[in-house]
Amino acid sequence: MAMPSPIALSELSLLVQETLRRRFLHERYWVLAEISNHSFYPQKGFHYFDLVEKTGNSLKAKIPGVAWSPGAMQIAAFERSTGQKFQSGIEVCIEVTIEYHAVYGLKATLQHIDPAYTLGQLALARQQVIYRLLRDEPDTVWLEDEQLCSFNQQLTLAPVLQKLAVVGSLQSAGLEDFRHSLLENPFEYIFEIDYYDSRVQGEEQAAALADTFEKIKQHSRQTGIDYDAIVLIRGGGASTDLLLFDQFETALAVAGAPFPVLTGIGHQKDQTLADLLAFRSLKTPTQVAEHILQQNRHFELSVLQTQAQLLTHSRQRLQEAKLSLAQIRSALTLQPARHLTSQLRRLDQLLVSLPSLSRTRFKNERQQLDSTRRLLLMASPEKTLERGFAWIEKAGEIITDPAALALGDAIQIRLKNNLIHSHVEQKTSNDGPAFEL
Amino acid sequence: MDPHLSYEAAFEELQELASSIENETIGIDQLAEKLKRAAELITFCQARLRFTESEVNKIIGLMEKSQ
Repeated sequence: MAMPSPIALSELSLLVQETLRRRFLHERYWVLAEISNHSFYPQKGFHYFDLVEKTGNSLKAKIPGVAWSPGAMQIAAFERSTGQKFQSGIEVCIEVTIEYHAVYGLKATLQHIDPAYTLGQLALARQQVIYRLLRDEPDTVWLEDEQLCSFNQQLTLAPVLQKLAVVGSLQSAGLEDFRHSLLENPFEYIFEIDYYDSRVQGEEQAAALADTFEKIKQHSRQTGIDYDAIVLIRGGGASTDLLLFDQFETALAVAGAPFPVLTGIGHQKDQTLADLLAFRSLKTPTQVAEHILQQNRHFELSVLQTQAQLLTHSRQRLQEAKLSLAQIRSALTLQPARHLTSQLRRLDQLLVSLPSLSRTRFKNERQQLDSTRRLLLMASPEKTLERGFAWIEKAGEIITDPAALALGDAIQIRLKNNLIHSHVEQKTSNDGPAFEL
Repeated sequence: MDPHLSYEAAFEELQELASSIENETIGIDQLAEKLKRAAELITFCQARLRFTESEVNKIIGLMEKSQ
């Protein structure tokens, strides 16, 4: 069998090119694929990448892809609307055309890209990570009233944040923003910052980022220094790599960190898992710095307020003491004089009342004496004789007892102005009444 | 005067003296003696207040300077 005459390679490739061109010229295909080996050439504005499909870890299909200027504009719009960077590892639904080049081979050229599909895939991936966290790490991540909660969120933020562990890329603009806002603060607060350089781009960095958190833990254990907070930042550029912060390792490292984690991942649209599980999530690195300053300022203001209250109370207390002392003093200067005056008045009253009291006393005494004398006068023998009574005398003695008289005794009967001499002739008893008065 | 006497104790004694003088429960014989004691207590309390006030003002001055 004679060998057909060989053709030049270019002829063959031209044949392939023609065949494919005829077949695919007017065809466009929406395909589902994962982006791999992505690179971007900013000067030209072209994206180069591989479209791959995997089963487990093995490749099932792979076609090199490219986005020229029109495709690159589609990608820019995709990044703006999803907040997700077009990069290796993302799942995409793109519309491609198929071309073949004699040197560069087969290429799928990106014409359109569907943002909704990628967002859906990201959300789905995130749901799976959440499920895994809840199932495998129930002490670190759990649900409360259908809200995702983490160990880190249960920590208490110190009233003053000064010792900080900052995790981020040392060259990034976000870290520079953070450092500038914090250190150039108008309150002249001083911070001790340990920087932990860590790439915060690309999902494959999740394990490295988790390692960095482990380093922070170790450093704290070795030095005995507790950080007031861990600051996790990235920033710069409009679009964000959400993937890294939705990875299981990243989420777990944040959720289980022993110091409150403050995130400033620098995206506007969505919250990553790291944000949801961190102690507090802020939008940008600058906002994290402002939050820290605000926390410290709040503390300083409360100290100043306490100081002002202290001053006011001390002054009030002194004022009150002075006032009550003055009151007592004035009372004491008046009262003894009043006391003495009232005593003197009492003495005066006594002085006034004593003579009249004595006079009354004398009068009473005299009256009593007079009535006694009158009584005595009434009972005198002369008065008795004057009233017409008489009495019997014997040998000059008044006889009051009839037994002293015997028959024949010489007696004298005394009347007013006269004395009758007589003898006792008879004695009889007298039972009748003497007088009817 | 007892150097360990507190302001509160002095003031309390002063109040008792004042009220017993006011209610005239103090005998005239003791009046002068008690009044003398009251005068001493007043001087003591005033001195304490003046000292505390100047100390407080000094501290306030320092606080305001450090703000």
